[in-house]
Amino acid sequence: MAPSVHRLALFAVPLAAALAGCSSSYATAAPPSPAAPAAPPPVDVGPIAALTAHPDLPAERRTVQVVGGAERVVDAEEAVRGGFTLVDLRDQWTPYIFTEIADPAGAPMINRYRSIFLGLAADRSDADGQPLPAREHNYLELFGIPPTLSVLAARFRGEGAGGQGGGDPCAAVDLARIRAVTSIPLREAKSELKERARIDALARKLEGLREQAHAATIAELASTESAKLTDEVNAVTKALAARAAFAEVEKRLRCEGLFAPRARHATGRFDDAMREAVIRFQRKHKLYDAAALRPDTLAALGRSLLENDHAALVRVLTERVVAAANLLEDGSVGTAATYQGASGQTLPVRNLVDESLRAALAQLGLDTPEGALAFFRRRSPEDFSWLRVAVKLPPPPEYHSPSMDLSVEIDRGDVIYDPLFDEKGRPTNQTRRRFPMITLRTKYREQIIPLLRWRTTIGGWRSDLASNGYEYYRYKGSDVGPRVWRNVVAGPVWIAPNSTPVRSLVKYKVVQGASQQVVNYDEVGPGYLSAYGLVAAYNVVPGKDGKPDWDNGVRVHGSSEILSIRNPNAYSHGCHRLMNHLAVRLFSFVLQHRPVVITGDRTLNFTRQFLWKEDVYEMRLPSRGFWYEFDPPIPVNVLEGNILGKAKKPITIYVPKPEVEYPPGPIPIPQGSPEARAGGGGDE
Amino acid sequence: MRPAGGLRAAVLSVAASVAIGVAGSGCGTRSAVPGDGPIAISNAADAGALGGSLATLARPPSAVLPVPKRPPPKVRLAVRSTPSKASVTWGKKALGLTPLMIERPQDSGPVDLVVRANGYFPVHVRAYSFRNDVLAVKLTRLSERMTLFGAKKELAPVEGIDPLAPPPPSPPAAPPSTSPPPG
Repeated sequence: MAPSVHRLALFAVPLAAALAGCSSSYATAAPPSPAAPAAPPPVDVGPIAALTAHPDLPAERRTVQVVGGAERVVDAEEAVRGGFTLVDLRDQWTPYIFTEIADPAGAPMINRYRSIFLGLAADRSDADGQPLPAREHNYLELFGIPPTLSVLAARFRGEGAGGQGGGDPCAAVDLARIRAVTSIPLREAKSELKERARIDALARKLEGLREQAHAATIAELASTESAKLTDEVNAVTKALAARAAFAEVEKRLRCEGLFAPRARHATGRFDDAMREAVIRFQRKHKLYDAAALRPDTLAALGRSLLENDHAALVRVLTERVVAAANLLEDGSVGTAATYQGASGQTLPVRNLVDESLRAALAQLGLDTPEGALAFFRRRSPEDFSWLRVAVKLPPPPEYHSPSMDLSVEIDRGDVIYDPLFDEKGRPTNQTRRRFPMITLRTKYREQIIPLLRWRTTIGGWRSDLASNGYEYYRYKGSDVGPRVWRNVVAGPVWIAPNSTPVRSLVKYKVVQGASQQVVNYDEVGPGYLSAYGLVAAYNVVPGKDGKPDWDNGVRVHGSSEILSIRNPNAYSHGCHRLMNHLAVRLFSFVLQHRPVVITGDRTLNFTRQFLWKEDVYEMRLPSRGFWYEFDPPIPVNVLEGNILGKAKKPITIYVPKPEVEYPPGPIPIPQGSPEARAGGGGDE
Repeated sequence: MRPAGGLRAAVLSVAASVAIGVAGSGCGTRSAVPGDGPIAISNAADAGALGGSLATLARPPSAVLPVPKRPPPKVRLAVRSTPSKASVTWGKKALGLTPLMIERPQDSGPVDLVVRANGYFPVHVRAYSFRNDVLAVKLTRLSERMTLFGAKKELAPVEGIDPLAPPPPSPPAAPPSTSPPPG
């Protein structure tokens, strides 16, 4: 499709002029939040040549370069030849693991989750691929699915929030009041009323004292009176500041359109409606925080819409730049990690993600909220069907190559085999100080270079359904020793083992206007909420002498169970979980830097019926996901870690739960299949 | 586990892998067309004739620009049950008695059905719309509850104490004993 003259003309408009000439959906160029960090220094990428403008190129050859603040259409091939990287800003973008791939005959290999991923990113459909209700948003960044640029464009235009594009819908929110507090304590309704009454009474008392003392403020009163009075003044000041901030938070959540349409919120109360609105706010802004008004959430609530929208754009561009530049190093190995280059010089393991992102943002004029706003004002909706941008990124490190000698090390950290309760039903000490970490490494010039080091999980004590229909505790550990990754699966399916508590396999869903119970396919996948997340690698012991691999059900996989990765007391069922977006980055990189056989969609046709309450549910799984095979496989070594507590080996029997009444007879024997042992999921 | 050799669709060297990556990333998408149009239902005693392969339903490689919108192809979802003549509902919508056939736009999302028959446990089951699909639903009699996975064994009441039972009637007062107590 040829671009219209109108759209091409826009590219010649300097950014400043575009900014000046357009009306704003934000009240003003909002003052930056005091919490906003100072801009880091620019990244030196050397001289950047201005490419020849070709405004009439067909869409597939078109890319945009920003020269002197103005956009120009240039030839994509010429840009690549000139050492530029093309960053894909199209709505059809997916990470590498979900790209369309053709088989040797040229036929597409169906990657079934691709269309779901695209529908979710575009706010077009839900996790089942069914249409999303009008004005509904997915907000799935926390779970590894960033919004498309079109979705972000709508946010910048003010659509979707309460304003519907007719001016800043949040102009009436006093952000300073929110910024004045770092957290707001939340109480049950009764306790809240009691506390309010106490503070109000205290405030009246202090006001009386202030009048008697002829002090200008109660703060002045406090400075002249006793320490006890100072404490009371501080308590009142803090409580009133929190109350004022709470009111602004309510306004903020409402103006961003985050209260559910039918939500019944009682002003001044942190009720269910407000809790849900806070959760939606946190999901929209990728905040790893509890459903409460804690520092991270309040800091984001205290930023302007424009600042938060810009932050979202930066996050989205991070994934686009990482994918375009095909890199992974994010500084997680620390600044002490070095290697010796071919010249003999000691070089640091760079933070390539940060360097590349900053270079791209600066060249595109997207490093400020105002620049981002101008960028979206220049866009028409059609632009995101073809838009790629050419940027000059820092050169990759010398150890990067299409075939890297990659390996993985997983350190289990502190490990506690002791049961959760002692013989008398008292909780045992399960405190860990060193947490499990995964490190991806490459061998280069006889050196092992760490590329990333991320927090992951190991198994622990979990609920398990025994053959008598009752739940017991079972230790679901993570294997130790050398393993390999032979397979990576995009959009993997987890086959719930028989030991999975049935209650977790059923959920409510609105079907054709009626709420009904269905099999919880969210859990089994494919999907961002599934047990294996968006992508999984299988840890196996390679078979020898014609014997098959030994699979104990342990995987390294993406996960939406964010707290299980971040919480010091949380465990997996044996697998090593990663944040979905990091798992996607990791495996997209590894698949593009090792020899790979693409086996594609693997048919499964699995069915299983189970009873829950008075209904039978039939789980049907047509596919196991889209499979890739490393050839040769990638070595993985799982370190034992520090064994704490009394038990020095995993306990292999069921342990009754203190609060459960069990039927008479012996405790059942746990199943021994790999999937039951580690929750890995019923292999063939 | 190693995949079966026959499944290997493409053995790629690193160079080929990179080339495919470029081609893939340069292409557009099979955008989901989540239609929710009317469904067509018919009785289908010949549901076994279904089962179109993925190959016949696969779309051609996508172009760089989105293709013009056109109605998505339909897929046929056959529902059978044992025993037959069970009622099938989809949310509030009654679809009829088994065996029956449903037509849906391809890739329009799953169809969550409930199959019911008197004297049997209702079965909740999902049909998929990415291809033609056949559901053969086995219904279980209420009396065969314990054959189902997930059925719980009942807790045996502790002998002599049944908290739900009515209190036993008081025994009649014993006549005064005239014999000596046991030794």
